Amino acid sequence: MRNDGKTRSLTRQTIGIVLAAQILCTFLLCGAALLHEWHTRFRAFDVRIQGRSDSLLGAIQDAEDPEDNVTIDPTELKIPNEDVYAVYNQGGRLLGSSADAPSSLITRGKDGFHDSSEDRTSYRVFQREALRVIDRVENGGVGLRRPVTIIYASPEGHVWHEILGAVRFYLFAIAVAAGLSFAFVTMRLRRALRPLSDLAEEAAHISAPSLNFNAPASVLQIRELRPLALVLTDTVARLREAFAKEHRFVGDAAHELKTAIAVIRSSVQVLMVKQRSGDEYRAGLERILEDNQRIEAIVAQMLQLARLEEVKKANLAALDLGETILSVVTQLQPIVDEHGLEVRVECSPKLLVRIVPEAAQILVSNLLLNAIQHSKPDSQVSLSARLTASGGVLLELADKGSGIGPEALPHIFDRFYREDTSRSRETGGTGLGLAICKSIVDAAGGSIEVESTVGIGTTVKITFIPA
Amino acid sequence: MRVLVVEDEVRLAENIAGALRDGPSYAVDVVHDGEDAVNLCQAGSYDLIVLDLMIPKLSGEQVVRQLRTARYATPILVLTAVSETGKTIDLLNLGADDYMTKPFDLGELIARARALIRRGKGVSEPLLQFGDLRVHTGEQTVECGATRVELSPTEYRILEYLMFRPRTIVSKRELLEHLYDFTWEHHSNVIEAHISNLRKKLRMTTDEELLETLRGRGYRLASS
Repeated sequence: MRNDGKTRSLTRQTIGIVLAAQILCTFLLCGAALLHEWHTRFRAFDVRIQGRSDSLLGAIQDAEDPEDNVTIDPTELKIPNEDVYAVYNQGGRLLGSSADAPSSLITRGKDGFHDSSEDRTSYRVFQREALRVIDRVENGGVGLRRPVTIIYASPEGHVWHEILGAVRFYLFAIAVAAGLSFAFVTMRLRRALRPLSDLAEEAAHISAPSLNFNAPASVLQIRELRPLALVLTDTVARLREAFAKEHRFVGDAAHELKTAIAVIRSSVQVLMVKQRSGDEYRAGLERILEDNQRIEAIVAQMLQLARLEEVKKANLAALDLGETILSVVTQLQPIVDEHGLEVRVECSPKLLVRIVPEAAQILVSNLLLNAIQHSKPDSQVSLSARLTASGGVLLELADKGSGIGPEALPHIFDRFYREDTSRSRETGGTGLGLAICKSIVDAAGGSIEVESTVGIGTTVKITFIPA
Repeated sequence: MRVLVVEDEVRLAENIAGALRDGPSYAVDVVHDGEDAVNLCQAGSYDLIVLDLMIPKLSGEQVVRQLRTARYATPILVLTAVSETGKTIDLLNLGADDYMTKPFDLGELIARARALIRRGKGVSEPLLQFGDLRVHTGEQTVECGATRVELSPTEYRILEYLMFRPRTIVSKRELLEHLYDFTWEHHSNVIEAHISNLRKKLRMTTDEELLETLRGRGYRLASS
């Protein structure tokens, strides 16, 4: 994962999203309100203009002239001052208009509504045909029909003013509502995201000296965080175990090595404490050499163990375990003879196991040496290897030795564990041999078991998975 | 003085025991595990225990705890491979009296053993004095007035033991227990012979009868 040092706050990001959503919402609502207001207000405006043109029609009267013309009497007319009107007769003669009516507005055009602007003011212009009947009484109730054309214009500024006022009100109301909901969301969000910071805080306490992680209850209650917290708890616990195991191993190794070094140092000091004969010095030096071999053995085996743990299982060719067994037995024959033992080997052909060749050698020779060391003189060690029903390989090694006590049996694969209460020179063990065996078998994906009866003997059974 | 060495590495135990026998001529018993250590402490009387920390059956820590819980007061010198301060603090708090980190110097081990034994007997000076008699525990020499008294190792050990507890009666059995390790055949007449030789040598330098024999009870350093 790349980390360029910049961090983002989840809380801030979420609040930002909410804020953006609310601003967008506000704009949409305001737009909708604007449209709606525009539509309804202009409809009402049109109706109003129509009404005013009606009252204009009412103001058209008989001119009382010989042609029975009509004229307009504006004295009775109650219309806003800024409105503009004009009335034409059928012949197109201007009967009357509002004072200072701009000619562009009152020029006749098509009937109906249209927009026009004059002197930077936009007007709504309405033109209609109307019929004025005069002299009804004098003509027997029928009257004279005088068609007229009415043009009525009113500035739109008022309507726009009203629309903007309404929109301003909506905007204010929405802003207040959004502000309140934003404050509420922010508050709730901080509380809802608290488990995240709890988790981070708890995780921050994890360190090499204190590998502890207790998932806070608040985190475990969150469905999304629970798996993470549980995985973290489990991982830290396993890490702690692994660390403790390593720590123990380092402690044990330090003890073994320091003790071995202490032996050499004390042996030298004992030799130097007084003047001795040449033979005594020689014997002393031989003892020191012997002590040194023990350190060498411990160091060599510790390195072996470390190396074995690094070996990867991938790309391993299968080897014939039977051949390994025979070569190890041949190698160790002098030691077998020295102890007056007989090793009986029984191997089926083609025992294929996926294992590092060097590791297989170490495994068989460690097991065999162990059996030799614990066997009674003139007894028999039997080593057999055969295929199992599932196609794996079963390696079995039985000795007629002193056996292992039930209290020691669970610990024999522990590093530096020794069943003897004292590190006697006779057996010469470092306490790592069986730990190495287990490590090898584990790496090869096999299993190792030990059965033992005190005074009768021990049987080691190793099962390898099919190659 | 009798010392118990608890160490599971046979060769190291041999070397420590050898150094303690040859140097300050202590009687030394060796065991290789914690259980034997506790059992021997309960049975025998030791003036010092040299204890390895990592031993089979009972760990060194458990041994210290068990002995101190049972009010066993003998000084304990712990041998440890760990040099972690926390661990050594724990050990000292449990009741150990001193510790040495492996690998250690045998000379230093002997010096610490001497100091611990002396302290265990409530004495701070390496020079023990009683009347005209002076015992240098470091060099293992004895003087009476201005005259040097030449003693055999066993005679010296008897005198040193008595000098640590002047005016108190020390039984023959106690002397045997503190001066010989368990491989020795206990013969009380051996002690009697050494006491008699010691007394003769002391008489040559002083008129006072310093070493008293109380029949059936033991011996005592006393001035008349």
